[in-house]
Amino acid sequence: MKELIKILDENTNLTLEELASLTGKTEEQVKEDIEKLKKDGLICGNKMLINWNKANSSDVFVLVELKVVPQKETGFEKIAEEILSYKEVKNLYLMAGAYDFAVFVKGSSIQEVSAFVSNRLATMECVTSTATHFILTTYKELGVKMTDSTSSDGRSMIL
Amino acid sequence: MIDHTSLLNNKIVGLKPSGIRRFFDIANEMDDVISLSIGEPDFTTPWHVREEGIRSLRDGKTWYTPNSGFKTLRGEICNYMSRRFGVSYNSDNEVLVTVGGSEAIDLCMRCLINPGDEVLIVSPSFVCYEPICLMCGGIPVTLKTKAENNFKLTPQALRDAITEKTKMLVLPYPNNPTGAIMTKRELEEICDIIKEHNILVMSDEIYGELTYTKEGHTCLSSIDGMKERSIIVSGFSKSYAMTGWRLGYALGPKKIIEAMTRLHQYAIMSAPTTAQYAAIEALKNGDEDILRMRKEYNQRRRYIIDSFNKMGLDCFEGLGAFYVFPCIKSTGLSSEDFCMRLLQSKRVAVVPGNAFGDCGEGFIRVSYSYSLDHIKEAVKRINEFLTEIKK
Ligand SMILES: Cc1ncc(COP(=O)(O)O)c(C=O)c1O
Repeated sequence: MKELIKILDENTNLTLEELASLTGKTEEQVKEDIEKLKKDGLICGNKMLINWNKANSSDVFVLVELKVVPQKETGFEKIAEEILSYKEVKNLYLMAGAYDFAVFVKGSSIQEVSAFVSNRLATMECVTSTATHFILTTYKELGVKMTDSTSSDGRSMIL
Repeated sequence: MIDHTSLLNNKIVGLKPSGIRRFFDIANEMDDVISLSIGEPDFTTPWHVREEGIRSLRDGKTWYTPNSGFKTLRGEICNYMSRRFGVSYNSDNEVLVTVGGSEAIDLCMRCLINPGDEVLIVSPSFVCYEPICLMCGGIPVTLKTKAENNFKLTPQALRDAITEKTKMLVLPYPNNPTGAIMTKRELEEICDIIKEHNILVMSDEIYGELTYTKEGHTCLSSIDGMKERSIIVSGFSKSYAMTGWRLGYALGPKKIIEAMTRLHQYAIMSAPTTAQYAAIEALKNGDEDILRMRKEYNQRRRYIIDSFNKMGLDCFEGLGAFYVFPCIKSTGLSSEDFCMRLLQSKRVAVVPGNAFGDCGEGFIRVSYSYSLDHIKEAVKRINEFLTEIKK
């Protein structure tokens, strides 16, 4: 199972037949395993990784550091649920350290993003402070390099 | 004009250039060739290992090392052998650090073979044993292995080949080009015969870590009574993805290692210093890296064997190294024709099996030391090629 997860973590475009070869299992077994992973929520999406550096879009991507006062009883959970429900929020992490939430926000312009941060995030009752950082270039995402370093095979044909 | 050829050593004149050169030259000239022909890891050396090499350079460690290699490195090699394979060697006089496994092979043969000695060489196998044997004036005797025996050396084949002139058996498992391995049981049967004679075995175990069975690799000298009859040749190239560093080693009986060290001292002085620093780090903290790469090779191995069998090219299950050796006899083509036509029509390069000995005819060597995407594309093209030639 671990091996299958690792393979799926790196490739979403393999057929059942290929997955069976790679893991040494039968197609039926792989199919069952995948169903189970989906049911258990281990597989929770199926997205292509886009290199937005290349998309020529004017999208703005920022990291917002949020400090909050955790709620009685529900702690950070309720706050997180509220934040993640916004479609502008792409990634959300609870942090240990200088602030509580790292919120990655994407919008089509600086105006849009700053409006979102000041009108939606900053105004939440539990939020005590925000700090917004603009992301200039993505070099690597989810383990994948986004730079154009040509990785040609430098090996020589010798015997 | 001086006729330089007439001045060359007679034996080197007699050595034929590797037939495969011509094929590689053509492949190298072509654009967008997709290759499954290369015999070295596609991984780069683990970063922590490279860092130790860099650090040594930064610290100005740019001198020769002791002839037989740094004492720390020899010690780590012996620790590793005992940790991984349960064999104990004395780091003072039973190990020699060499320029790749290649130099260890060269030294071992040159220090043991007298003119007229017969050297039993398992075939198909890596290309260097026979030429070196010939340079020493030895007589290479080919031990042909067959697909129906999974390219293993059988006790019978060994027994039939031994004469009173036999000096040495070259035992190359896990095998390049077939991917065959020998299990502990199978080695024991071979060793029983060896022990009846006054024969040494040079065991080339450079692919030992790339064995894809539960049992794992068995080091020849771990078998009862074999330590005094074995010279183990290995290195860092394949297991740690360190081909370019040029570092290997030989382990064996004190008297033989001493002789090899003497020759090494005159011919080489000492193996590369930077590489030795890096290798110490690899042996100390690299077990995890070996595991990681082996896992990935193993996935590709299963994938590629499956693919060939599904295409209708019989491919026995190689359990070692990073090669498979499918049979192409069903196409009616010779190995070289198959490879040349595949290259020309689909721009896929694989190596004709006969490059590794006559009994490799009818087979091709396919390396899976490539990314999965690369392998998938090559497999697709080979499949198209097979459909085309059937028409
Ligand atoms: C079977 C075998 N032995 C030895 C070597 C030599 O390796 P190195 O000199 O890089 O250690 C190779 C390289 O391809 C090989 O395939």
